[in-house]
Amino acid sequence: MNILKEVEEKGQRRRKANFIWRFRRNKLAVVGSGIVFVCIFIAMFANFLAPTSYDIGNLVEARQPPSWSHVFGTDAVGRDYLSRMLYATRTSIIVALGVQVITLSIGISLGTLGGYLGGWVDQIVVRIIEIATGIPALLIAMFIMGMLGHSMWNVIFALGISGWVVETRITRGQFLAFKEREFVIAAQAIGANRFRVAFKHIFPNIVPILAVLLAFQIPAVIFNEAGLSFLGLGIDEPMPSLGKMISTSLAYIRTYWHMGLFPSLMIAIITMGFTFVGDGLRDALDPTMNR
Amino acid sequence: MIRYSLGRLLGLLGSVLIISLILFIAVRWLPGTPWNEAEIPLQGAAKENMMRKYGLDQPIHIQYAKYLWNLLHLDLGNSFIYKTDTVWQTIARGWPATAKIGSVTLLIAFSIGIPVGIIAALRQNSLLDYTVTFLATTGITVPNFAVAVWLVMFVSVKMELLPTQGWGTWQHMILPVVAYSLAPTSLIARFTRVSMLEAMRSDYIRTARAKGLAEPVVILRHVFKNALIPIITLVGPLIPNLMTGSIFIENTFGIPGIGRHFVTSIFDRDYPVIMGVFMLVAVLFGLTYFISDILYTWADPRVRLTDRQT
Repeated sequence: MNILKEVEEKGQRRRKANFIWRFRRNKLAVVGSGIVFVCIFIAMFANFLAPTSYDIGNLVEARQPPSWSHVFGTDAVGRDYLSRMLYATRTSIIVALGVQVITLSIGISLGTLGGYLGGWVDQIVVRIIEIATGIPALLIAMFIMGMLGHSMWNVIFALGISGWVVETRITRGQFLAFKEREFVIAAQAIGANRFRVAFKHIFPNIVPILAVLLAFQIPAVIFNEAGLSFLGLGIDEPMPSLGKMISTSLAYIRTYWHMGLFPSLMIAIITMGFTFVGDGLRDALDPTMNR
Repeated sequence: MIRYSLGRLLGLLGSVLIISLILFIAVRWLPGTPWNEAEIPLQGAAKENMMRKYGLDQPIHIQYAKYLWNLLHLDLGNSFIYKTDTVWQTIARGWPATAKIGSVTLLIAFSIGIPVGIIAALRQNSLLDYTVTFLATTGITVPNFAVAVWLVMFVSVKMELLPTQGWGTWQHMILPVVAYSLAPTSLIARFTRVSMLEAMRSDYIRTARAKGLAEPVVILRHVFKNALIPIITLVGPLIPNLMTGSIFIENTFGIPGIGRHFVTSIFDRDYPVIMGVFMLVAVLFGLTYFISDILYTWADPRVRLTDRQT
């Protein structure tokens, strides 16, 4: 018994080392993790990193191009652009993570119900997925924002309530695939109850795929949050958001280049970082899948 | 086949019906009324008259029944805000611009994405392959409104080659199409590459080579045809997506398309327009999923039409 356990632990360690080795071999993924790390660092410590607060404006210094006192320049009411971008990054990250909590909770519960229980429960879940696929998530989110009014928490709620389809679909598909595997049938045969089989035996096998999905969904959410704010349906002043900064900059695009360039670069870097990590995770988990 | 199609269409009808019910209730949940009461407050009797005129005084289930009845006659009602317009006219005014951009984008996405994907797959692990993969990943991830801002900045403002905003001439279309097509092109290129690589590894390709077929025939007839199968599933949802346009692109470039109606109708609480536009999108998406499933069985005869495993 002891030997068996040792062998299994050894195998696990080797798989883990293998995984890390494959992930690190992918240079983009390493760069991506660096970006993700920096973003999370900024999100956590924006108030220490930023030279000023995001809502302190000085009209005398409005619309300044980058200089030594304002590294990224100032906006239309003289607020330090660097500070606003740091806080906007924080907003993006908080929204992205908050939305994931909602979408994963809905997706995992619905997907597990449908995929594992099957039968009429699954029929209902499939129907729900089909209805939810009928309208693009962003439109639903826009609608909810129109209903609730603008704030960061409402953005999280709106994007979460509208964005769980992929999570559900993947969880359900995975449960369908694992349900018939030998180890699951063995667990059922020795009398494990359904709850235990679902969460102790099947679910751990799904976690890696959900992790990959998470890495891809985060940039999608950041995109959507910026999109909502870009349309004026997102986060309200004085809270900064990258999308809102880009849309405001459009009015000044002929004269004040820094207003549009910095936030759009920032959002591109953030979304790329997360996507590279997602790519790396996926390739490292599934070496047969071609890069 | 016919039985399956009928079943699917019925299911689609059911979904659309449920969507319409949810929407109808949700639309009336939106706070405020279609009238600008902040600036022009309506007094008691006047408000009652307005409500009666637009049929908003009746209980909601009767309103809904009426809406469905009109929907059966393909009547989406009149816009509350543009009072002389039916919803169809509102849609018809915006859609041409959107569809123009969408179809050109679709064309570009295919005619660039597929060849690039094939070439990258044929030279797997070469520098070219890495470049394509990197560019495609970037193209998928970078938000199109960010790309739009850069394009306006460098091409229109700095180099003064193309107009920044507006609609009418072919010059106005270039920047929006470039910004809009970047993501779908990258997506198709990347997906084509992966599907090609997948197909190239299969046994039937070895057989095709072993029996002495010329390489171009193997690639086009055997590899590409099989690689098409997964591409169809990807492209299906892409079409209605592109044809309904991007709100961001239309906003950035000031294009009078359908996209802004999504936003303005919600802001204006223009109930019939919200309903009409959303229902249209729902039907469009449902139909494309249906058609791509049918195409799927045509491209891959092994797939049998049973209940879809979502």
